[in-house]
Amino acid sequence: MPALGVNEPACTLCGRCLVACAAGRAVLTGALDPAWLEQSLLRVDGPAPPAHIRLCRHCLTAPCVDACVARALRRDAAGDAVSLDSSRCVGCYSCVMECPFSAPLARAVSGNAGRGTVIAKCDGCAQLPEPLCAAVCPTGAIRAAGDARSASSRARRRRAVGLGLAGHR
Amino acid sequence: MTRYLIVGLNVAGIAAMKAIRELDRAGRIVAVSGESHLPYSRVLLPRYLAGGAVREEMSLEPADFYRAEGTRVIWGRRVVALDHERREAALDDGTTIDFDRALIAAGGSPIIPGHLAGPGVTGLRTLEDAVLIRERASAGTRVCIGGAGPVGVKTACALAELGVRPALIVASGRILSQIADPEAASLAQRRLELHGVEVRLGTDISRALRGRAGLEALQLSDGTAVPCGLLVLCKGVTPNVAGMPSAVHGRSGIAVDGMMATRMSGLYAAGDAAETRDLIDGQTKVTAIFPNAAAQGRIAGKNMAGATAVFDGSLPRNALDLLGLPLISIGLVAAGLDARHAVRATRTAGSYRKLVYRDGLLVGALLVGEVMDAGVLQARIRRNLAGSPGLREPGQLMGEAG
Amino acid sequence: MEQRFVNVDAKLCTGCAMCELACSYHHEGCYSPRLSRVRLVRFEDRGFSVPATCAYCERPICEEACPTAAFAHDPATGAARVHEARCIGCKECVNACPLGVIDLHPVHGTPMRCDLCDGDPACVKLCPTGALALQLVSDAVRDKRRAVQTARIRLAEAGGLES
Repeated sequence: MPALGVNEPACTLCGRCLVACAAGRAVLTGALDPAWLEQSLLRVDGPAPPAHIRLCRHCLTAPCVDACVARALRRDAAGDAVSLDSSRCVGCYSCVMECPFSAPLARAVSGNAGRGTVIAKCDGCAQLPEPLCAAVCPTGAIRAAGDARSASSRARRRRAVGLGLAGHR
Repeated sequence: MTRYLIVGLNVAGIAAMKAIRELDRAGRIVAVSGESHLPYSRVLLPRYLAGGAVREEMSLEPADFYRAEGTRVIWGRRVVALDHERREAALDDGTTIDFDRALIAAGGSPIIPGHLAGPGVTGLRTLEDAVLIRERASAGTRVCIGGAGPVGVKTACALAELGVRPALIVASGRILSQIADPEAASLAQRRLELHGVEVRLGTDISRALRGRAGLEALQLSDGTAVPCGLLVLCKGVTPNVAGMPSAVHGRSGIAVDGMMATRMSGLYAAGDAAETRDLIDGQTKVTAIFPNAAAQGRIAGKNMAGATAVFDGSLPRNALDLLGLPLISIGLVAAGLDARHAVRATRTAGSYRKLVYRDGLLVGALLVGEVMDAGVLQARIRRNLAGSPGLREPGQLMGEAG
Repeated sequence: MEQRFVNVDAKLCTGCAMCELACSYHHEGCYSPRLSRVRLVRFEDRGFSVPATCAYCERPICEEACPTAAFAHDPATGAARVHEARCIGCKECVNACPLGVIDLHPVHGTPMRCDLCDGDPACVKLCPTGALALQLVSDAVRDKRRAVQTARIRLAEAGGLES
């Protein structure tokens, strides 16, 4: 399971995640155009907290995958993430309509009849040891949680420490 | 070992196949596909017609998906009779297949009224249809489209991209009348006209005028005639239910319960052939949209393989790209608005957004131009319709300020 | 209606893990702690353990976080249900639960949450020491009050408490 946990109430809209994601894109693709900040694969919608963090949750039964008429969105072979093959994307907006987090973002592409816009979304920083957005988030609003299971077991343990200590006083 | 039969192999059938494989590895699956091609995405046919998608990109699954162990696909055959008593399906080549549980996912066929049927009149449902339309249009044949639902409009866009100037003949007073209100429809219409589509509103096709060279013109109900060498009818699809036991028939398709099970044990239905409850009006009907077929197929597959999964009902929704102008329609947006409903509409240059509330709860969204938060709105609509209104309000949504 | 929940008395837990086995057998038909809705947290180094299970929060943050309303409640008993077909496996509930008691089913990918076993929890039935009990919140508080006062009286009777 991918390594992202999102806790919107903790977000202060500092924007570090956007910069880190965009910088990561720019480095990985070597695209250093003036609009590099636009390459960020997540958005944080304000204008004030609570924020709406538009970041892919890599759902297990992802509605975007169900709705993708071009099969550009799929669960990848390892079943770890929802991956996007943007060369297949036809810009039909079906995933935009389905994603409850509004995580798919529009990207303008030039040329190619009928494909003025394609979709971009988080790839889970597959090539990196840790997702960049989580690495720079100062409040834990986006966390690299290992996987969802270990996040759950850590919370259980934290709580149990409290219970156990009370019980053994 | 359970013997599964899947009648019709497209979005719903494939989703069911995946679900069954996941839960019952020992089962034997036989699928009957009406076409000989690898199953492809029908929604992409307008793009294919316009040359914007190639054949391989349209495949729903790679070829080896259908060759997995325990799976057999019979290509280019139809099930002509399903004998529930003997648990046996008869194919059009005379062979039979035995089964324990069967899924009817045969989809639908374009509606072509008898008085128009004949040479020069087609739907857009298969690759062959798309090839025919592209060839005729490229050769200079004047193409008319009958019906301006999502498929008709997308076909018009595709032909406009090809550089031909199609005529869109619309019986209703506006295009996209089921999914858009007059304001959104006029924005969409302007976009079509800008790209050379001729839109004729409020007039129906009463007769196809054929000469020696085939179709020559269409006689319209307003008394005029339009020259036409090829008529593409996009007036919806009718469920393919022929050969299925009459006990499972509903109003037009196959009647199913929440588990996608028909009245006959072991018989399930999903996709464009199945009638489900509409979440907005509570009516039972076919809601022939792509994501519905995938969800229903998966749920049917799970139940067939012994798990329990329940389909909530269908939320009518559509997303369209009108030559660069996105339009998304979710839930209740135009028809059936009464005193219980309140509407909030916002307009900016190039965008129109309308949110519909029932008793204070969001039940519909119609977005043109600025659509990127549609998913959040859809999730809220679903929660509201499920009777558990969103407790956590998401951050302020676009167009909802104040 | 006042909600019942499985209350935990950590002092009584011996770490035998009967609760996990009972729960997984009741819900999944097999003995697997991984499939249990109640999970034992073990602190081997300190020699104690404690079961963790759904606290039936008055304001369930897992349900608030769910974008598809996949959590439901039995109107009669208040027991939690998961509407599996609605669940999209986004893991928001897993991340939201502060107690870490919502886990995803390893096969179905949907949340596993204590449903109180139709009012007769298997874990409570099989717990040999009474560390788990199905209780109303008010009863749990009353018992706790009583236990504290009992301890005071015992202490006083032993002459350890000046009164």
